[in-house]
Amino acid sequence: MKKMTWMRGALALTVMLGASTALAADHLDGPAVKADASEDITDLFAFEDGADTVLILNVNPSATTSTMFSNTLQYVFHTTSQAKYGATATPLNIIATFDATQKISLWVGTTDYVTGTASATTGLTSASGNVKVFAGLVDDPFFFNLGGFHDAEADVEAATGLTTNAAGCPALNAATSAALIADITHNGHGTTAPVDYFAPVTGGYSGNVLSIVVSIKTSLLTSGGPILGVWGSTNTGS
Amino acid sequence: MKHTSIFVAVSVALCAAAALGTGCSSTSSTAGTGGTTASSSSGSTSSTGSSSSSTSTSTSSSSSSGSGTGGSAFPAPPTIGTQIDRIGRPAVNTALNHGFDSTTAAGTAKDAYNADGTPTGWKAAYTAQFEANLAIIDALDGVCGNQLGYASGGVDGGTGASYGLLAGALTDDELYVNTAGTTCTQYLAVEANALAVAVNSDCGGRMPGYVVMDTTYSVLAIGALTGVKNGVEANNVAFPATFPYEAAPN
Repeated sequence: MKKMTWMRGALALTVMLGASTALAADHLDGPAVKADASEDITDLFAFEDGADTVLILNVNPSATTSTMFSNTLQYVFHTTSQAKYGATATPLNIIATFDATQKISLWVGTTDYVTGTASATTGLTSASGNVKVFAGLVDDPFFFNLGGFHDAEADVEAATGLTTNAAGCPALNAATSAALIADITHNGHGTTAPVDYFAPVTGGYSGNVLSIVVSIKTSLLTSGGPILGVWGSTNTGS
Repeated sequence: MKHTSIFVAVSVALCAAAALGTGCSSTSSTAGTGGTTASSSSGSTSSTGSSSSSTSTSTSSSSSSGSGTGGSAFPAPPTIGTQIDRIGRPAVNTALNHGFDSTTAAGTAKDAYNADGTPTGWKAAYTAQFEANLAIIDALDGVCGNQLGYASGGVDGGTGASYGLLAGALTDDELYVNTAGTTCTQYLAVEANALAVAVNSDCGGRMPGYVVMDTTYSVLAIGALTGVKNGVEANNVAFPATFPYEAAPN
C-alpha cells in the first residue's frame, strides 16, 4: 500500500480538469498551444449524415469576429478505414490551408479538392459535388460543468490519509465519494445549479471558436472498410 | 438523416442491435465515380505549387462554384508539416497524460504528446502513463476495480497493468465511426461494440450533442457508458441538425 497525500489526492481529481486550468475537450492542453491559439485544437467531431461523413475540427478557444485561421498552418484530419475495429487500416488525409484573405484550400487525399471562400454556412462545394466545407466562427460546441469539478478538487484536498492499492487506485470512503459525485453535478459544492464553462461570459470566455466543417461522401473515405478512425492535428506549413 | 437530436444523446441509451454487418458499403455508392477517377491523375499533376499553402489557393478558381466535373486540375496536396497539436477523443491528453503532475514536466509531456504524429508508436509510448491516471480516476465512485476493462490483479502481478486494456485502447487516440451505422447516438459506441461491452450498430464517433464528459466519467469511474453525469447535459445553444451542425457564434 502506498500512502497518498492529500495533495496528490487533490491532483487525482484534477485529472479530468488538467493541471488546474480547465478540463476541456482539447482546449489549452499544453504550453505550446496556449502560446498560439490558432494552433490550439479545441474539439474534433466525426459522424454520419445520410451518405456523407461529417468531420469537424475546431481551433482557437475564445475566438472573436476578428480571429482568423492561420495562413501558415495546416489543419489536418487523419482518417483510416478498416474492415473492423483494430484491423489493418487504409489512411487518407484531409488537409486544409488558408491564405491571408481566409480563402481555404481543402484536399481530400488526392481524390477531391475545393478552394474558395467557405465562410457561408451553406458551405463551399467541390466541383465533383462530393465535398462541402464551411470554415468560420461558431459557438464553441463543447459544454461541461467545470465549476463542479473544481469543487470536487477542493473536497478531495480536504480528505486526508488516502492510500492507494497495488494498482494505484486510491481508497475513498463512501461519504467522500458521495460528496464528489454531488460536486461534479452541481456548483457550490452540491448546492447550486451546474454551469457550462464554455458558454459565453461577458468580459470572459467568448463562447466561440473557429471551425472547419467538412462533409464528404462516405465512399471517398472507406476504401479500407466501413470503420473509420479519425484524429485531427495542426501542423506547420511545408 | 442518420443522426438524432442532441436530446437523444443526452438520454445515452445504447441501442442493442446486431453486431456490425458486413454489407456496409451500400450506403453511399453514388460518390464513387467522380472521386476515384480523379484520384490517379490529380496526385501527379501539379507537384510544384503545393508546397506553400498560401500560393496554392490562388491557382484554381474553378471549384468554388461547383460548376465543372473535372477534378483532375487541382494541385497536389501539400506535404504535412511539423505537428503542433492533435486530438482524437476529448480530454485524453488533458486527463490521462500527466494529469497528476503539477510540475513543468507535465507541460513538456503534453506538448510532446500533441506533437507525436506517429500513431503506430502511441501505444508503446503512452500506455503506462495512461494506466497510472486511469487507476486514480477509477476511485471516483469509491470503488476501485470497476473501471471498464479492469483486470483484477493485473496481468503483471498487480501493478498498473490492471488498467492496461483501457489504457491501450485510449492511446489509440482517435474517434471511431461505424460508417454503416444508421443512427449516431453514442460516444465510444464502436469501441464498446468491438470490446463486447455493449453490442450495437450505432455510428459512434462524436456528434456535437453527445454528452462526452458524462460518458467519460462513467467509463472511467464505474465501468459503464452511462451513470455519472456532469450536470451540464446540453450546449448553451441548440445544435442545428443540418450542415454546418454547429450553432452561430455568440
